[in-house]
Amino acid sequence: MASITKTAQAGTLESSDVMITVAPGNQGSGIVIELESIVLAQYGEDIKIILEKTMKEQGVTDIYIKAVDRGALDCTICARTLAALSRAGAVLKEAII
Amino acid sequence: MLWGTIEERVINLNNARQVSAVREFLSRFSLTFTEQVDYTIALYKNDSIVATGSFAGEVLRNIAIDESLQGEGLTSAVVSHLMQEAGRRGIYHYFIFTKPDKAHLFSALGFKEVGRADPYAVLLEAGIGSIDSYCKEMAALTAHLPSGKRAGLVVNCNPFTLGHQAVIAKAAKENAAVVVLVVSEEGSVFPFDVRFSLVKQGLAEYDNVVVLPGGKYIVSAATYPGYFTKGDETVTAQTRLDATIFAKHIAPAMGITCRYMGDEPYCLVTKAYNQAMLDILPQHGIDVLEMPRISVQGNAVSASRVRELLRQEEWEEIQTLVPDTTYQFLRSPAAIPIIEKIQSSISRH
Repeated sequence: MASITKTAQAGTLESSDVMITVAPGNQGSGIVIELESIVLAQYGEDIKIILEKTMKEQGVTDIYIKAVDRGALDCTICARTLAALSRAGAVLKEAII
Repeated sequence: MLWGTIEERVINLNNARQVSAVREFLSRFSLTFTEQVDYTIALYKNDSIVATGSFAGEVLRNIAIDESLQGEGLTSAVVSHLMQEAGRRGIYHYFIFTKPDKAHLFSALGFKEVGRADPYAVLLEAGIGSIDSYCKEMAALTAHLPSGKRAGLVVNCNPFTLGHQAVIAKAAKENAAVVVLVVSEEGSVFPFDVRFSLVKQGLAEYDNVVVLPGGKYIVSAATYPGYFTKGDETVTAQTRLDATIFAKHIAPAMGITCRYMGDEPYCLVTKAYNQAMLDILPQHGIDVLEMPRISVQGNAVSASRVRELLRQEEWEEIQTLVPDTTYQFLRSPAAIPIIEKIQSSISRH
């Protein structure tokens, strides 16, 4: 499992988007997610699952993820997360084309 | 978002024409544009400004949207853009000061309320880091202090004088422990590092005193953007906001039950600050003790007096007003640029 080296963000706060900020966590802290969403009651758990799944697929741990969601689709959440990880110094498993 | 008809432009802060267009736009909302910003963005429609926003350090400010386009998502466009640009500069924590009736616009964008001073101002924050994690950190840094009655002080010490030392010594005698928070914000002629180390050195002999950097939740005049409050209201809003955040978050986190202050015979802003403390802290169960200043040869000891004497290089009198640790620093080569700055400026701070 790899960890990231610096803080980075991706996305916007515009409607149907999500702003993801990732920061290195303390060693052994695992994946810590803080989520704010306008659809938290309806989709909060689903969004957390997507974030966690993306981290695991990329083999990243000891990371703090802050997501401010404005009703983004799953694919948007995933794309913004990958972009933030890449900016934070993670080497992504698959190249984003 | 009205794609196609709206164009995003970065304002060149050195271009007088662009800056005056932003200034004019803001004046429609009774907001003033001050040049102390790092970055300004404007959204244009048909070549006229319909929205703008700026930031200075971590503080997003001067955000305004044309009335006819409010509710179209322009606020989120402006705030997102500012956060992205700040992020590029390594800033991932953001503050917004706004009027209480506008706070909901930013809450919808993930901003959380830190404190409010009704009816003047609210402070909100977003991003990485929060008042809660700051309070946890402060609690950990003060955990080693002896238990019992604990006092707190917030000081600027520009520079540290016998007056500061006397107030803190009194607090140390009357309480089990004392927490001294040194205002972190730059904006005083003595840089933070110097102020902090002089306070630390000057208090080294007191075992039950801990000196800590105040951090970003001490709302100083330097961080508080006065652009949306008028005249006297600006000082009232800033000081009351600071007092409220101290009383609700900072003091409970560190177990502080009383706050000591030096009384202020000269500076009106400090006087207003002390007044805000006297008004607000007791409501939250924190005692406020205003100490009279000590005098030397009939003159009240104050940091502004020391700066005045530095201007005139009256070393003999300076020596009577500051502890030896401060005096040694003032005579050292490291102090030369600071003294030169005092001598060449006319500001009181």
